[in-house]
Amino acid sequence: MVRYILKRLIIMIPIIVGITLIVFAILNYTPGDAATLILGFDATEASLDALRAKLKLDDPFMVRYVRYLVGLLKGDLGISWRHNTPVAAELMNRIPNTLGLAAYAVTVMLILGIPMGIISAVRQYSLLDHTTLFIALLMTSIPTFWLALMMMLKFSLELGILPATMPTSAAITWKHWVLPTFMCSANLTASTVRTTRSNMLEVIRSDYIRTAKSKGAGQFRVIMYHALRNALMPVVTIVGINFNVLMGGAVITEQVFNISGVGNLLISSVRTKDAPMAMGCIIFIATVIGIVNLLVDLLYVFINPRLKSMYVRNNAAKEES
Amino acid sequence: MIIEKSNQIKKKYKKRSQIYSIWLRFKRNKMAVAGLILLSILLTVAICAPLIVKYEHVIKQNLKIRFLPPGRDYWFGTDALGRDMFARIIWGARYSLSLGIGAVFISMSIGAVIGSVAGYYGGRIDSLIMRIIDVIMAIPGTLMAITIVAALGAGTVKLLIAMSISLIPTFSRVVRSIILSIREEEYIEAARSYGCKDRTIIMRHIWPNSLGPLIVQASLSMAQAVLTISSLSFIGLGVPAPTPEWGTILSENKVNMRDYSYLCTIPGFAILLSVIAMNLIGDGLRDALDPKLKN
Amino acid sequence: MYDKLLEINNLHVNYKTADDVVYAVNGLNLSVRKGETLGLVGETGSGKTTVALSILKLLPEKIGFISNGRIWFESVDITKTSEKEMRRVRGEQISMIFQDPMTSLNPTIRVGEQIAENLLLHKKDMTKKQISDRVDEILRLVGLTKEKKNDFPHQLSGGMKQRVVIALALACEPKLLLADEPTTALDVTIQAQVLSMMHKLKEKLDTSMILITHDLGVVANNCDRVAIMYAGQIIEEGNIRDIFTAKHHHPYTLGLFGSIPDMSKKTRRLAPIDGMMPDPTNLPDGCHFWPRCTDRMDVCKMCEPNPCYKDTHMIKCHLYKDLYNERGKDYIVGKDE
Repeated sequence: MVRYILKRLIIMIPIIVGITLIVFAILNYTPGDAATLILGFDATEASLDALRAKLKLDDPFMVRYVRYLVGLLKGDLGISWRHNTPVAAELMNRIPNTLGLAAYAVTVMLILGIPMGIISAVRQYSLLDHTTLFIALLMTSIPTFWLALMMMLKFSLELGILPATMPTSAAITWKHWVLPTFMCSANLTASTVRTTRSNMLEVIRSDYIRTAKSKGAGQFRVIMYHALRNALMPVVTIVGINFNVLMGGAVITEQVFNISGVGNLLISSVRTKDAPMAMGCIIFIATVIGIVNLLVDLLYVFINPRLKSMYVRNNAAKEES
Repeated sequence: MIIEKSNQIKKKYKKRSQIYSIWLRFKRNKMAVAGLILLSILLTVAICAPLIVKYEHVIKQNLKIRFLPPGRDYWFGTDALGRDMFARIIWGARYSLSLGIGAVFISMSIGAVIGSVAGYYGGRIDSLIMRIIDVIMAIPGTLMAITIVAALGAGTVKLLIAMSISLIPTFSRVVRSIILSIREEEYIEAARSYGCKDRTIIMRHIWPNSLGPLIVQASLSMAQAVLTISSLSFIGLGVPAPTPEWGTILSENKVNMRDYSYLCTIPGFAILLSVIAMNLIGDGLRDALDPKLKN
Repeated sequence: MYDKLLEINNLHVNYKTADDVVYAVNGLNLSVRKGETLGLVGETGSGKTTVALSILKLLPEKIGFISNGRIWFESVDITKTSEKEMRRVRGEQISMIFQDPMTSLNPTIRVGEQIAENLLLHKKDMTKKQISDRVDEILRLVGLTKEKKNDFPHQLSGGMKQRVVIALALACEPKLLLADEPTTALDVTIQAQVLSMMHKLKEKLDTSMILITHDLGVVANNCDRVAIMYAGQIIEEGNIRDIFTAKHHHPYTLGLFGSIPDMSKKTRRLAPIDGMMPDPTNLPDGCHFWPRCTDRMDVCKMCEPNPCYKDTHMIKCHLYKDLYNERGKDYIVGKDE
């Protein structure tokens, strides 16, 4: 098991190298000069040259990229070109907000999505099922930023219950998170409902559920003891994919609610060609996604007896030798 | 018994062509048909926009008639600059839908080529392509599009490029997996065993069977693309201001949302309706292609 | 009163799909006596499994319906029993062995727990220790070691899985066992093992059994009586001698026998029955078999034949109207034995 985790973590390294290379190339080969963007259009040619020399912008592309990687190996994310502060420090300021948003959204997605999907499947074709499916269709198709606007209109402007934007300081309360969380999780909760429902329906019709019924088990027992675990296995794998989508949505949510998170930082750094900062953000996002997917895979192994017994056997064999 | 039953249903359809039977199953799904009708209407509006309102109404400012509520002359009211919202929404269909469809078309074509090469040749080429795709897929498509647009600067064509690039990995993967799975199918083996030529196998078996899942993926991706494009425009990274893309219209009007809520509700509904239509068609097609799931 | 355990009268079962009604069982009469094994024989799609599912009231929800008829189990009419009471019948009084052992066991639950569940649901007074001992015992009865109870289904071979499925069905020593093609999915060598094991267990526990199969060889070796099913009806019924040695048979039964290779005779080819099972959404008028029947008469296309009896042998065919007696519904099968 430990070996498997290590292997997965090692696989993340080439992915991070690749993704930083792509971002570095995008920043390098798109129009716009970093020095001008940092100093402003009225900067003198001399000061621009001085900055270019300081940032070593005139070196060839690969030389600069390898230099960055070497720094990264030493654990140095570099200094922001624009703010002249360490990238790591700025990231540390932003990470809690982004991770918080993601965590709240995933929680809502699981806590609302899975039970709704199960109930909908168990009461297939009932009014409740039709309503749930209709809302789920609406929520997968709705532009979430527009949903956020409408909620702001209702809850912030009309009723004044919930704040519409995020304060920068420590004045953040749970109320500030309600609308962003809602916006960030709406699509994915709906897709979780739909996936859970269709998996559950498939499991309910399987032969072993019929066997369970033929033993005289009641409906509650059939659903909770026999069907749930089998139905959730595919849902678990989809949580990983959904988390990927969620991180994309989180960036837009941060923009709409003006949350000072990593996504916001990424957009502003790419715009100003602040390469070290942008790369830092991408590395963070790719790492989080990689780790979450690893956790999801581990969870999958844990709930799937076929895989689990494989690993348990391996461990036992190792202990013997 | 369920299997026996579906066999009987299959027997019934045996005489008709495959595409016709898919259409029959699709037709029976009322929601999917509703989606198809809705999308047809929206597309007609987008294509016929010049016949409905002249483009000059879209950009003509008239400060005397600012913030008119929806009424007889201006069906959807007027915005802060006195522009006709109806004209903007109608022409917005052109931009929003064509961008979404265009992005899917471009990425599907490129993705199909990449995926086919990977799936057909296999071996080293396959693993090289798949490693590159893995790297790109390590960050979300939306984020990739945002990064590209942010680097290129806002603009309609740049947005189209960014969206297309961000969708290519998905299509490459889908096409590759379809080709791999079809190559393994027993009916291909069977076709070969009774002496079918390669060309016949590709035309008669591989193509028809891979087209279905590809179309399903395309319609679902299209819905996603329309959503992402409008989101990007909304946060100022997409179609720039005077152009009437639906997300851009929302972005322009959000400051006046408190007092003139219709300025924000109507464009939002336009996006919602088109995305619902595309999702319904996608779901309907998927069910029609895979009758197992239905009963 | 005869010691009849199960009696089915005029059973009709329909499946309703999006655009059709499938007439799966059409006026079926059947009875099983205590301790007896009844072979239910027929082609795929003749409605055998539907009959078994009807007895347990486990027809697919919202699709399958019992539209007419009675199913008497002891003195209870199952068609009128509530779901709650049915739950007490299932597993304890009547249990079923399903066709495909590969998919009939829950992949995420240890097989021991799956067997124990049956006891847990019906024998409320048993302690954990007693249940665990009983699971060990029943595993031993079906020829598995008790260590197997900690395995998941995927760790067992097909034959072992089928033994588990049988163990599961027998855990509460039911009065009636419905075995739906219990050996079809298994290798021939294992088929024989499983069948002889089932036979022994049945004798030991004095269980009645309906053995659903399309294999006449299996029937000959294991059954006391045989009922042959076609298009949702019993078209011939009798004890093992009637079916295998009597002179007269339903043309369909003759067709079935003609489809088995007979090593004692020199024939060049098998004689299969021409044609296909009728479309159950659109059954032919009259006798449902007439479109395929080699001996068909005009009357066959018009009216459905009545069952004709001679001692324990019943044939539902116009050919035997004069040779056999037409008797009413009150006739009790097996009276003369």
